Amino acid sequence: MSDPRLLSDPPDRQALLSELWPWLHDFYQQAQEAFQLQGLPSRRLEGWKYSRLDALYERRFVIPDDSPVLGDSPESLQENFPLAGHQLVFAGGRWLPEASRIGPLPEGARLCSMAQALSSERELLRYYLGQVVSLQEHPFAALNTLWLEDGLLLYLPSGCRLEQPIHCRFFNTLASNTPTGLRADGLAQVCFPRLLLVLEADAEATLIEEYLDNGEAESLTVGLTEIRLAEQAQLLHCQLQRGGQRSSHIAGLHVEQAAGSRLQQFSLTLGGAMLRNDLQVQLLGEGAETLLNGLYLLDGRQHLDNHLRIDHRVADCRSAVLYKGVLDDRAHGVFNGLAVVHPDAQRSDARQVNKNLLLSQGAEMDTKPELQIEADDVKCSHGATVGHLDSQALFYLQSRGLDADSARRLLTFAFGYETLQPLPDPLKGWCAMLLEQALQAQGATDDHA
Amino acid sequence: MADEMLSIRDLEVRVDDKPILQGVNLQVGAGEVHAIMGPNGSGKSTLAYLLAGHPGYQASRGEVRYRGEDLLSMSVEQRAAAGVFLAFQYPVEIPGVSNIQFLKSALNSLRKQRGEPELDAIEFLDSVKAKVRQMQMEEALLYRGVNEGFSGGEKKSNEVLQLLVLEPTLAILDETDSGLDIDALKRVAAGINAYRRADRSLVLVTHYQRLLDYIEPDFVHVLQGGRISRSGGPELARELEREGYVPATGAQAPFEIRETHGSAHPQGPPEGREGGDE
Ligand SMILES: Nc1ncnc2c1ncn2[C@@H]1O[C@H](COP(=O)(O)OP(=O)(O)OP(=O)(O)O)[C@@H](O)[C@H]1O
Ligand SMILES: [Mg+2]
Repeated sequence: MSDPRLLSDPPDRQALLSELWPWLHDFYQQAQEAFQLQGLPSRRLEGWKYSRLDALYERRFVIPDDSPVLGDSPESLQENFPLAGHQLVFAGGRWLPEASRIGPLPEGARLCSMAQALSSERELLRYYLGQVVSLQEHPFAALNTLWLEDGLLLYLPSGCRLEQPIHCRFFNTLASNTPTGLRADGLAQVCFPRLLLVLEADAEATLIEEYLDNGEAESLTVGLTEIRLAEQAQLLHCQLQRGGQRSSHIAGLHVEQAAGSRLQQFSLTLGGAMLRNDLQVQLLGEGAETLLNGLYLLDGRQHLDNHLRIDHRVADCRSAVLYKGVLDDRAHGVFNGLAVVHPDAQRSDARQVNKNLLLSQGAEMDTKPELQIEADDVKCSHGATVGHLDSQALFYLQSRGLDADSARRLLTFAFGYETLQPLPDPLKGWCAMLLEQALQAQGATDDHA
Repeated sequence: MADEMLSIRDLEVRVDDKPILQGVNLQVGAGEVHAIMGPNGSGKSTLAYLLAGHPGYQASRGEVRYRGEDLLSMSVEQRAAAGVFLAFQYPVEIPGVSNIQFLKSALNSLRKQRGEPELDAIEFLDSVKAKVRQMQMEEALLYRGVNEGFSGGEKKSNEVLQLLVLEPTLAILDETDSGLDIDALKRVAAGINAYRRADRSLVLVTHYQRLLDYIEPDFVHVLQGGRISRSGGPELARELEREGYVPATGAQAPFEIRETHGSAHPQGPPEGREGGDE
């Protein structure tokens, strides 16, 4: 295969594959072709023009070859899981069974690591893996597939309602086994977690993907999540990006929804260096509904690129997007949202809102919500704003005794909280706390007069 | 003479280089109620904002002492902690911050700055609810965004609720009576009266005698032409109600011009700002 420039020393995947998972061979071949055709995307491509990937391409990354050990793990690993439920911990892309806890599951349900699934759930994977994502259009999805090794499989048969949420926590640099996350050989780590969630008719689940890295080491996560919701299935999915100063994350989230299904997705970005999220939803059955909320808090020189695309392929579906961002220092954000209403998709209801607060002169936001409508009977709207904190509101708060920082924090919190509103407790409370903490931390490093 | 609460000397304030206040002098003693009246645009809100520390209004001349201290050198929140309170003519809407959360953050910040411990959450809630009942407000307003979608009257009541909860020493109320119906005016006035104490002072900016029927002022001042042009007792407000604002001295011209145009009411106040400050 072509050597993905990102990797310094690519292991011989072909050999590994034919030995371990010969049944994956064709799938792998497709990914390889798709990747060779596209290569790593350059900024000349419209969809990638803002993403600062060049620096990443310069770097050489390595896939950790040792199985991660818990040993002297950073404190964040011990950070309590906020919700009772199934808890899965990953480090350097690999599942850590000794740090995870999977509770009893209903009849027929499967919840296991992708590595386990590759050996024991071949039929399921053969049927579902790679079905939702188009590798020909998403080079990083192809790359993720080339390095497919571990991650998560969730399969819920018809009518199966998972009472307890699933919380997956991904560490990248933890696997280097030093408190700072720096490797002895000085190389940066890359990992390729792959998640597959299949909910059959009427099934219900809540899943949280949390990416956490607080070390000083440079790292890259190229993740891919595929979601398939059958008729009337319901999923609440959260993606939390809490990376460190030097951890980058390229995430793909690809969804297909059948009639009457409902996805509620929340993306919370609080940390990371270079972040790119591609969220693609196909509404394939009538009455499907997708609610996508996002909140990002960027400072320093962070870059975040949120690309959303929702396809209304049939009649009577609803999509609602609310993304909000707070940008400080010299952070750069991009929101690119496209809702496509196809010719047969009458009575589609598609709404998109992106609102941003710039807290400093140097912060920058490029926002482009778009509609492409090919049906005539539709309710569609889109809007974007980029503004500053309301100075009269700041004065009002200060005149009641709040100091300038607290007043700013309160207003910023209020601005962002709207996106958390639809989440159920205690998840909402936990996200609100993370937001509060992030604002405290951001305020602490600020030099506002 | 009561202990001095507020002393303003020769205050000049310019906005965009235009002089708005041009030598205001005012002394307010502890326990006193002062009413400030004056035509639209004469600078009453400018004075109120300046006292509260609004960054858009700076003194270009003069001095303000609050309980003997240099008020103008204090930050907005220091003034609040020292007991200065401004009820806004146009209270600000803050979506997403609930009224109760706002009151709690405000009170705790004030207490923190004064070196007092934070309030117990239950005690706080009980005391706020009692004040909401006192103001005959709907309790639901506590859980809505601050002033978000409040009616004009609800906003004004909410300002007085904050006054009762935060218990400042010097309260400047900028047209808190404007836009209130007759019953609401009574409730708001009762709230303000409940706040009064021998060691607290009130500065009421108003256009109408009817508020002063409920809250008897010790002094009434007219702000006009950038200065306090007249001061007197409660009878001055009644006189103004009858006769309108007499133009500032040396500014007879507009009236003569009006008369030549055949105005039937030469004493009626012209719209906007009067002669004398231009
Ligand atoms: N931020 C500002 N920018 C420009 N002009 C201002 C500003 N603030 C006040 N002014 C001007 O200063 C003058 C005084 O305004 P101010 O609001 O203090 O009047 P007021 O006496 O409170 O009037 P009203 O009775 O209508 O409330 C007006 O001419 C107003 O237009
Ligand atoms: Mg005014």
